[in-house]
Amino acid sequence: MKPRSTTEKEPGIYGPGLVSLPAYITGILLVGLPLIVVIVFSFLQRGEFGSGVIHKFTLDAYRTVFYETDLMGNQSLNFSFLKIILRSILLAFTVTIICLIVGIPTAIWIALQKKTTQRILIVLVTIPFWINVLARTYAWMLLLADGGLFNQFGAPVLLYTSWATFIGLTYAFLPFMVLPIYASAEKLDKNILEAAFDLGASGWRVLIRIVIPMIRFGIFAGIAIVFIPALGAYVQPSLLGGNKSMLIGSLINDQFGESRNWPVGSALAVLLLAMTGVILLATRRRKLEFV
Amino acid sequence: MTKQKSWSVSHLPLIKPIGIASLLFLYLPLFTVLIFSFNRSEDATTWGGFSTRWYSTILDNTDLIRSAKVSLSIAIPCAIIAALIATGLAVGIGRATGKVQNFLRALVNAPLVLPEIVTAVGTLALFSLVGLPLRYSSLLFAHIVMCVPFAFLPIRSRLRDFDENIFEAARDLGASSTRVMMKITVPLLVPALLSSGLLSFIISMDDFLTSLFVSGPETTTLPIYIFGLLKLGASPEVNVIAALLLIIPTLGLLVGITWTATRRRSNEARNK
Amino acid sequence: MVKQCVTVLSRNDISSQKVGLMQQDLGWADLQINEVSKSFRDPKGAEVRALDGVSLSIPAGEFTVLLGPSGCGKTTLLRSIAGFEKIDSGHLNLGGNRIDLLPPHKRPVNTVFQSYALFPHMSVIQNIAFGLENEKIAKSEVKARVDEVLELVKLTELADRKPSQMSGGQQQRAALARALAKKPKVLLLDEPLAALDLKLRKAMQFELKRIHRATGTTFVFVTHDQNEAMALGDRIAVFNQGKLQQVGTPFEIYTAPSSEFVANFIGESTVLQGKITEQIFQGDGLRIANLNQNMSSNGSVKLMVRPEAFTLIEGETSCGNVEIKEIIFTGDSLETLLVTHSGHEVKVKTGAMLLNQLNVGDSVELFVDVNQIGQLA
Repeated sequence: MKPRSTTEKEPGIYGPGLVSLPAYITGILLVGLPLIVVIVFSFLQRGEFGSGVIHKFTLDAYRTVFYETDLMGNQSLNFSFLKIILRSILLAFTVTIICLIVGIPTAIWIALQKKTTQRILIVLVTIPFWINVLARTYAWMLLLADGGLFNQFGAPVLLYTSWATFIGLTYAFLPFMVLPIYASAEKLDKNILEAAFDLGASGWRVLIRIVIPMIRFGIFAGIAIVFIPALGAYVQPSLLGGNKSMLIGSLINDQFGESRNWPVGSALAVLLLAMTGVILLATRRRKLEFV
Repeated sequence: MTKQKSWSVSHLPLIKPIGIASLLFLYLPLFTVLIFSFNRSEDATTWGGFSTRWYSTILDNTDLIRSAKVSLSIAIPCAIIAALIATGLAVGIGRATGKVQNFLRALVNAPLVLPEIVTAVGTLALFSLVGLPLRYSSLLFAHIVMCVPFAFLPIRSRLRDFDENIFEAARDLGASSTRVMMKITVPLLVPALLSSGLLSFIISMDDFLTSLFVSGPETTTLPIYIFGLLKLGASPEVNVIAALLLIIPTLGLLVGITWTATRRRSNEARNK
Repeated sequence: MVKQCVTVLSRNDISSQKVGLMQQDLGWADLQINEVSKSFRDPKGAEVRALDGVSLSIPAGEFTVLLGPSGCGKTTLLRSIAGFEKIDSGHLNLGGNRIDLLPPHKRPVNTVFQSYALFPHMSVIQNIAFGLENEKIAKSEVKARVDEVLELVKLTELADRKPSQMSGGQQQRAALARALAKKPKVLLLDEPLAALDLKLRKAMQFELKRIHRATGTTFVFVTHDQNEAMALGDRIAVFNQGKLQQVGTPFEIYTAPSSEFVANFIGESTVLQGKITEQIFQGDGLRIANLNQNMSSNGSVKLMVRPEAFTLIEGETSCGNVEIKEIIFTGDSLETLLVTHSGHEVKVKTGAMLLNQLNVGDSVELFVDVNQIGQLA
C-alpha cells in the first residue's frame, strides 16, 4: 500500500495557483451559478408583461405546473403539464430501451472483432457523433416526409408524428449508447468467454449470464447518457414531431419564448434537473466522473 | 481430430446481424441526404435525376454566409480561450486535494451529464440576473463556459498518461511552480491543447440550443439559421446545406485520423 | 565524524585528496530524523500510522538503507525527507538546519524515483541541465557539470537521446545523474533497482557503490530486498509498521538482530524459547551448554540461531537429538528442516557433502557454535 493521500490525487503540482484563478471563476462558478439561478428563478414571480422576473418569492410557478384553476376558482391537477412530463418520460424510456436492445449487441459485436476492424468500426460509429444534430434530424425529415423514401415504398407518412420524434431520437442517441458499452466490452477478457463455451454453455447463456453482467457498468453509463438528454430534447420533437404532442424541452422553450413565463420555465427545468439526479443516482455514477 | 476453434463471434446469438443492421441504420439516412443533395427536382423529397445545380446557389445565400461568419467569429476565439481556461483548471484542480478536488471535478463534469436545455436556461437566467444584454460578447461568453468542460477532457486524459512523478521530480530539482508549468506541464500538454481547441471549435460551431436561448437579434449563428430553414420543411437548398454539414466534419475526422495514425507510426519507427 | 572519514577513506580506491575536497563541498551535513510521526486515512476511513516516532541519525557521507516489507513506512520517510509528504510531528534536520518546513525545491536534497520520472520531452542532457538551470549558475558551468556527471554514470554517448529511446538501466543512470548534478547533501533513492532484471540489478549495485564512493554524498536507499540491503548499505535501518526496529551495520543486523521480526526478515533463523540457568539453555526440546557469559541468566529467554551456526553429525556443542523432516539440496549447500522431540522446527544449513549421510526420518545429533547464538529482546 503506497502511503498516499486517499483520493486519487492528480500528479503533484502542475504550476502556480494564480494561473487557475481565472479558470476557477469562468469554468467553475459559471458552471455552478446557472444552475443555482435557475432554481432561484423558479421561486420568483413572473415579470411584468411576461419578460424576466420580479424578485419576489412565490410558489406560483410550481403551482402553475402542477395545478390549474378553472373559472370557478376550483383547483385541480394540471393534466396538460403533467401529460407532457409523463409523455417525455415515456418517450425517453422507450428510446433508451430500443437503444439498449440495438446498442448492446452492436457494442459486443465490435468488441469481438480484430483490433484493426474494431478501430474502423468505432470510427464508423463515431462519425455521426460529429455531424450536426440538425443535419441528422433533417435526414429523417427527408425520409419520412410525404413523398419521401419511406412513403414511396408504401409506408404511411410518419413525419410530424410522435413516431418520427421517436425514430429521430433513437437515431441521434444510438452512438451514445454504443460507445460506453463498447468501452466496457473491449476490456473483457475473451478467454472467459472461451472458458464458458468450453464448459458447454450455449450462446444465449454466455451472453446473458456472463457477457452482459460483466459489461454492466458500460450499460449503466449508456443508459444515463441516453435517457437524460432524451428527456430534455428539443430539436427532434420540434422538427420531426411538429409540435403536435409537446415534450418538456419544447415546453420549456415556449415558456421562455412565446408564453413568457420564466418562473414556470425555470420550475420545469428544475423538475428536469431533479429527474436527471434520480437517473444519475440510479445508474450509480458516484462522482459524475466521465473519463 | 482437428481442434475447431471452440468459439467465435457467431456463437453469440444475434449480435452480428444486429451489429450490421445498426451500422446500416446509422448510415442510410446520411447517404440519403448526400444523394438527394444532387437531386435535380425542386421537390426535395422525390428523386428527379442527378444535378449539382443547387450547390452553386449556396454561395448566393447571403444570410447563410453571414450566419456562418457569425459562428466562426464565435467558435475560433471560443476554442482558444476554452482550451486555455481548461489548462488553468487542470493546474488548479491538480493542486486541490481530497474532497475539494472531487467536488471541483464533479462541477466541471456536470454540464456533460445534464440536459443541455437546463444549462441553456440557466445561462440565460444568469445573464438576465446580471443585466447582461444578449449580444456578441455574451454569446461568446456562454459558448466558452459551455466548451470548457469538453476542453478539459483531453487535457485531463493526457495528464493521466504521464508518470505522475515527473512533476514531483521537477520540484525536487528546484523548479518553482511557474517553471514547472512553463517547462514541463505546458510542453507536454501541447497535443492535448490542440485536441481541446479542436473539440471546442466543433462544439461551438455545432451548438444550437444554448445559442438559441442566449443569442440576440444580431447574433444569428449558423445552426440557428439552418434550424429556421428546416422549420419551413424540406427544400433543395436545405438538402445541400445538410449534405455539406455531413461532408465537412467527416472529411475533417478522416484527415485527423490518418494524420494521427501516420504520426504514431513514425514515432514508433523512430524509437526502435 | 572522524570515524566516518576513516571508514570512507579505507573503503574507496580513489585518492583521499578528492574525497577531502568532496567533504568540504558538502559541509559535512548530518541528517537527523527526530521523533517523526505521520498518519493518514486509508480508503475505508481508518487512521493508519505510516511513521510512528521514528528517530534516526544518518552521518554525512554514509550509504544508509531503509529496509522493510511493503507498507512499513520506509517510503513515507523518504518522501518526508524529500518534502513530498508533510510530517505530523517531529523534526528533520540537515547539518543543523531544520528542513521539514521547507518546500521540496528549497531543500538541498534530491530524489531518484522508482519510475525514474525522466522528462519525456527532453533529452538526457536537458533533463540533467534542468535542475542546474533552477540555480543561478553560468551556462559554461552548467555544461561542465553535466559532462562531469554524465561521465560519472557512464552515459556520455547517450547524452542526446530521449528517455523513450533508452533501456531501463540507461534510464536509471540518467535519473541518477540528474539528481547528482545538483550536488545534493543527501541523495534519496526510492527502490531504484526494482524494475531491473537480476543481472542488471547486480551490476547496478556495483555501480551505485562506486558512484557513492566517488561523490561522497550521503545516500539514503529504500528497498524491501534484504540481500540488496546487505550488499549496499554501510548501515541498515529496519522498519516495520511505521516503527524503526533496528539500526546497524549489515553484520550487526545479521548476527545480532534485536527482535524476532528482524531475525526473520533478514535471512533465515531458528528462534528458541526456554530458560537459561548457569549458562545452560533448556527449551523447545534442546539443551545447549557452554553458553557465552553475556547471555542473561534470569528466567525465560528467546535465542536466535542462524542456520549456518548449526552443524549435524559432529560439531562443537551438542544440543541434543533431532529428527530430519526435509532435505533440500541447493548445489552449494544443504538445507535441512529438523524437528526436536518437543515438535519445534530447526533450520540448518550445512555443506553439500553431507547429502549422502542423511535421510528423511533419521535421528541425528545437532551441534551449534555458541558464539553465533544471538539473544532476542
